[in-house]
Amino acid sequence: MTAPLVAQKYPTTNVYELDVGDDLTSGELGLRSLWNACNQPDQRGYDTLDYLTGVMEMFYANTTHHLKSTLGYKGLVHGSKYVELLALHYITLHSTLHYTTLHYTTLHYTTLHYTTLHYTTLHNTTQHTN
Amino acid sequence: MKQHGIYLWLSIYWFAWVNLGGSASYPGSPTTPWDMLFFNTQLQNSYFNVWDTLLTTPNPYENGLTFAEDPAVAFASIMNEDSLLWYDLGSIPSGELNILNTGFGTYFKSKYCLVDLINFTFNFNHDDDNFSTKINTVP
Repeated sequence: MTAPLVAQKYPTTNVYELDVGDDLTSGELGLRSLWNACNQPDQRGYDTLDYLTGVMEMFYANTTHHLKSTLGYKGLVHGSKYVELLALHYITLHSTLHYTTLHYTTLHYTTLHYTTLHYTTLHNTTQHTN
Repeated sequence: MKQHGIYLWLSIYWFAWVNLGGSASYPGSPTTPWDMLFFNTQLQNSYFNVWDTLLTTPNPYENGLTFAEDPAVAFASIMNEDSLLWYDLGSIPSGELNILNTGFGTYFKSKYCLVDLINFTFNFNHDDDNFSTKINTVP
């Protein structure tokens, strides 16, 4: 990976935290703060949200696998009261919406049922296949 | 309770109840593990150990039935109230944040570097003689 490639993909257009935390020799790239990612959307902010939701999604998937496949638990798995934020991943990445505070807040409260249904359906399916 | 149709919901983890005591075994010696369960494998292993014990220990009052097998245990909650998109990243201890930053570097490479390498192959720029060296600087 090259510094020019990072500069190309994430051009410095913002005076805030951009490039803070970058240490290319060790492969580290600074994440944008969520506030700036939502209010001043750019590619680094977009990728930050994509990456963080991916981290959470992987944890939930691994834990569910551990409970059901490793330990043989046959009940339902509930993610978290705030798992609905994962819905941002599915909605904003596949639409033309921008990461504005308004959208962030609106999605936070309106996707609760969508995500709850999604995960309940997913884990019900898993349960039946066991 | 089971005989009366009452089910059990297991919820074992809320970060605010966990005190790591500034343990040096965790990067940044954190006290409260804000967001850490999502990405710190050491904490995840301890967390899984709790589930292992809780779900697989035979219940002496139910003829050795485990919680994993007991239909009265209707729900298992992975965690209570935590999200990488909620508190903002400033709550995460700096040593722990480095784990996320390193992961973000890997994410960047997987997303962009292959395409960039292909472009480089077909549009070789002699002015960038250090290109291969730069590629190798990142594990």
